[in-house]
Amino acid sequence: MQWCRWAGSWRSHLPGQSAGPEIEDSFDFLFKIILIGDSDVGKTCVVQRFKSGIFIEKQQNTIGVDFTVRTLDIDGKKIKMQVWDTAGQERFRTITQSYYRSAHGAMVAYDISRRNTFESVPHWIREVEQYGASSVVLILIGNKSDLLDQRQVLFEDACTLAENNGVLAALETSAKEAQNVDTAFNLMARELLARNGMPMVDEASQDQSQFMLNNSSHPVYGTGSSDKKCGC
Amino acid sequence: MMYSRGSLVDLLIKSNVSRYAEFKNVSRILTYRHDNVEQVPCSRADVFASRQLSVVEKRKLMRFLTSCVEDTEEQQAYNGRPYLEFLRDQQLGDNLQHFLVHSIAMVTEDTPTEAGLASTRHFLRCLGRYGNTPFLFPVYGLGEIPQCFCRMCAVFGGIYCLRHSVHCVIVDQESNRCKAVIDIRGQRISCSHFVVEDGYVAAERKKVATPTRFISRAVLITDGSVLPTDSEQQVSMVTLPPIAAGSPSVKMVELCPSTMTCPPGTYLVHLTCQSTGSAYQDLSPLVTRMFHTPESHDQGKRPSVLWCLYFNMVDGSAVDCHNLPSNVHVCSGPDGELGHEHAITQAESIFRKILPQEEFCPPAPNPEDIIYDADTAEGDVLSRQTEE
Amino acid sequence: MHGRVKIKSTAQQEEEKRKEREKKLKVYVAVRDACFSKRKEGIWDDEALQLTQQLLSSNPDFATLWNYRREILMHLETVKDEDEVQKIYVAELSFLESCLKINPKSYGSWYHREWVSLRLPRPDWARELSLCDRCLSLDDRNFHCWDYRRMVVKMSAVPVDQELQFTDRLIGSNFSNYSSWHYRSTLLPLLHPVSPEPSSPCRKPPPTSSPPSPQTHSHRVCEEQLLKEYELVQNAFFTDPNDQSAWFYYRWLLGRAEREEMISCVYVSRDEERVAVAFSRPVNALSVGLLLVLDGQPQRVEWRSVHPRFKHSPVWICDFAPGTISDISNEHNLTVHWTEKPTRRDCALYTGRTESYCRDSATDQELFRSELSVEKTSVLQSELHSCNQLQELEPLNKWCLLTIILLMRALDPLGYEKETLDHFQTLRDVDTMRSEYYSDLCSKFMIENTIMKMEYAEVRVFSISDKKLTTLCHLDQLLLVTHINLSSNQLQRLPLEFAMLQCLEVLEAENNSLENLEGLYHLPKLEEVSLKNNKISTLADLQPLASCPKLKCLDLRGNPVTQIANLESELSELLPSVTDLLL
Repeated sequence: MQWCRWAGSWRSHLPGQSAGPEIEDSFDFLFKIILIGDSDVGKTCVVQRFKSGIFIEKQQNTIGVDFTVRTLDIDGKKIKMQVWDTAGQERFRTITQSYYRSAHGAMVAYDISRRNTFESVPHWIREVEQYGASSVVLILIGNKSDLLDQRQVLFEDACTLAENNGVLAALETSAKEAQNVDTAFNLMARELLARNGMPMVDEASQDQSQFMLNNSSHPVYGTGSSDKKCGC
Repeated sequence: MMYSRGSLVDLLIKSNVSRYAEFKNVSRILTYRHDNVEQVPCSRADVFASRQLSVVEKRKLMRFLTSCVEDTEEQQAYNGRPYLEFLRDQQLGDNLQHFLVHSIAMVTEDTPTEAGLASTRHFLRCLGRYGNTPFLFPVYGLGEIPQCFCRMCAVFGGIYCLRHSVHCVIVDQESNRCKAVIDIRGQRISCSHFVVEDGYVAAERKKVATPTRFISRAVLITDGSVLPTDSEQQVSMVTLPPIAAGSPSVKMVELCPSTMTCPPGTYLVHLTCQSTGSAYQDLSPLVTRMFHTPESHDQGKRPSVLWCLYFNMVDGSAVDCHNLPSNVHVCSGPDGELGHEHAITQAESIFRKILPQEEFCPPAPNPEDIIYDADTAEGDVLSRQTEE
Repeated sequence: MHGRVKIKSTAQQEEEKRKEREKKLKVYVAVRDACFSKRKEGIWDDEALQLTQQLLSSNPDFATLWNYRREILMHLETVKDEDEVQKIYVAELSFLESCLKINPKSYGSWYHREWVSLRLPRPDWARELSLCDRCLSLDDRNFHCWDYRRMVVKMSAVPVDQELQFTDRLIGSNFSNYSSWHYRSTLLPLLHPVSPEPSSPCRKPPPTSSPPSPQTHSHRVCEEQLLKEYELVQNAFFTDPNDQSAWFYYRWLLGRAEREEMISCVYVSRDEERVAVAFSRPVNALSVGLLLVLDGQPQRVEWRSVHPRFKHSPVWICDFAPGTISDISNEHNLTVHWTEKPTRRDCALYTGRTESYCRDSATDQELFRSELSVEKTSVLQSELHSCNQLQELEPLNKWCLLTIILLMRALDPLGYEKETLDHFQTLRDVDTMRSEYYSDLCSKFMIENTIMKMEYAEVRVFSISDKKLTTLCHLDQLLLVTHINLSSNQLQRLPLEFAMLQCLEVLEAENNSLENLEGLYHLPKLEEVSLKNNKISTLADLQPLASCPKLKCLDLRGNPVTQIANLESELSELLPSVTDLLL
């Protein structure tokens, strides 16, 4: 298995992913993972592989799909991984800052067969450092590891870069051959789980958390009081 | 600052653009009088907990807030007369009148009753939807909102050319249509429509309210809250009535670090008002009173200003443009109002002109519902100059 | 269209959803059947745990499965060591957390959580407490969580003052919460108990190893703290006077004292050779250890209530063996002992007297004031002032009116009688749904006032005419009354309790709506009854009168029953003792 790590404290085994359909939509943790890297390094293929276990050879610039969700079972905890794809936004290196907001983890991807995509990696890491939260977990993935004969980036170089930039791990993946993709996400999930304690208890300690908008509203204890009060 | 109900929130929810943003509730409404910062009780829980109000005042306030939602003949009799007069005749004391006029309706003392009631009702409608005040603040700042719309656009293939400001516009004389724009690097970008902020439009093409209206603004970084509590993470909306006759009434927002707009231990403060003079003239007297600045002489226990900036800007709400090519669309700049009704209405009307057949900001589909298709080609280019 | 994202049609989406649901249902049914058959076979293994978990995580209200799960867990307890058991139960708690997210009001999940928590070898109560707090911050009226939280607090001995702060916080965020107010009412007496000597400042609760349970303690709160509570609750009902929870709490604050348990009256009659005893609250005399001593000799008597239907009653009677006290030239000394309390009351029957009684005088008994027991009237006076202020602002608020009435009663029931009647009229008008309740309550208060007047005048005549009475109560207080005038009210019946008027000789009840006389039951001294202008329509309605041996005069004019043919002869058969009959 080609992966290495420096940060965190890992038990050596990596669990098998949970199989079968998800019975229902409950989860213990939700983590938001962003995928970044130059165009055409295969980010969408990696997401596809993770989500549905398939590989689509001819991927166009991604349009319309910018996140997918898969729930992992790690040590009996349901971890919902919300994986955000750039959906083609990186074409002009103009990903909006909001892409980095509130991400728990970032996968920085390069193409082992194109050196320039690896050279952009520091740029992407800087972007995360600049716009993301300080605690974002970074994992470096060198995609298209199936194209061994066209390799332009040594795995050792990736490991060195990872070590120098406080990246959790560097892995070489192949979305095409399903190599290390799940491993990378499992690694990410485990690290995030280790850094986040009890879900319900933790949330309670934040007196005022941020939230997303939706149509349902909080119970209204506004001024419009009524005579009907349920007693309990 | 956004109202928790209104066309912006509706649009964010409807279009799924809301998935890109997170919000915090404005946690309290404050006001400033008699050289004191006070919390304005506006929700039921606030009224219950308030220490400034007597029990009788509590009852009067609650009764007014519940009863004013309905239109009555009594209210209509006050149409055209000041809201303050109406409140006074409701037997609401000075305390309550102050809160209702300045902090809840957020109007001035001579605003007519019908307008005062309308804004009071709007405030009440927004109350309790997401929290105990009617306001929301996007984490990382209000700039997130246009960015989120842009992101949705980019996800569906929109292309942005940042750092390319427009140098000139090429107009076809015959059709009076804009054919292309030239950027400052000399690159020509063809376009079928051109949307531009009014600041870029030459003065002779603008009909401006005479005299031009300005907004005075100040941005401060301070080392403490104007009303410290146990929790340091308060987001406060502060309404500041005129400190002297002829002074403007000022709206102030104090943001805590958890809004991701300022470093830990500091607060970011925005002050805004309609200009009566320069921003410095309009706002510095208040700043000096409420904060500790080099100009303030006494050693009162107030937060210190670590950094400040005063500036004026044109009030964009009063600008109207004419003599423009038919496919050039102008959107107005910022105005002094809370809320964003105008911007949303304008965006929708420009969209309708450009694409009359299309739904405005339709809901983005769920990823599961998108059919992958190798033929999916590069998206249309809808270029749009944003202010960012 | 060019560049357009293709989206599945609504029909496609629907179809996919339908298939998904179908698939889910299939899985669900299969797993459920597997669970049932495993349970039938008595298999308690890990697989069963897993299967039930799968089902319960989507449907946490499946009680049978929770039972099965408990069977499995109890079995595992017997085969695993403590560390393993701990691990299993910790996992169970985290599983339950996900169930509670699906349905925060699931009876099954909460019950199971309590069950697990109590069996957990090394429970982490702090964590459970914060889970409750989290849950209550989402829904502060989730009573399942409240119940569970009380258990956690009890098990982990959370200090009372900390719990009081907890209610402060919840009431602060939303005071419409019976659970919080009620919890407060159980905590305050522990934290601020009333001092043993009146008017000394609050004392600290004694340090105890385990927190005393609220039930075993006095319900009184020291006055200093009471004043703070008044202020708090006033803030609530001034903010929202239509919220009941605050008013209920206020009533608890105002009326906490229970009447002292005692024998309030002993009556002895030579004619009937009978003793009647009245208690301050209904008792079952057969089980409280009642002992009658006559002239130093314990008597074997049979106690009975005034009507066989009363198992608990404030009035009990017994008869001596014939001839025991009938000789008018003898003096007798009686004592009734309530051995269980213990308390007693003496009564002397002097020579030449046909009857005697001994009881508390009205002044030291303070009959009806006990409902509101704040010592200082000035406190009550200021409470009344606040409520009057609120009433000015909200003249039609029923809670406020009712509270004013109660305060007035506590302060000066006779002095405020007129205002009380006016307020009752307003209440009946604004809350028509409960007008009967107000009428009954008003009747009760008027009766109390009349009893007080009677006591002050030291007479045995009870006269309450023309007061719109709809009901009769406090009849145990009328044990000694000989003449009662209830005329011109709205009474429909003389209830069974009326049989407590053991001394009654004359009953005036003209101009009511009486149709039921069941309370005229074995009244030994009743001689004269006027029922003019009532609604007695059948002979059977008059049947109870037949049990009154001394009845001589009966006025039935203006009743439907007078239309019956042969009434007179029927009556002479039914009531042979009656000599003066007015029809």
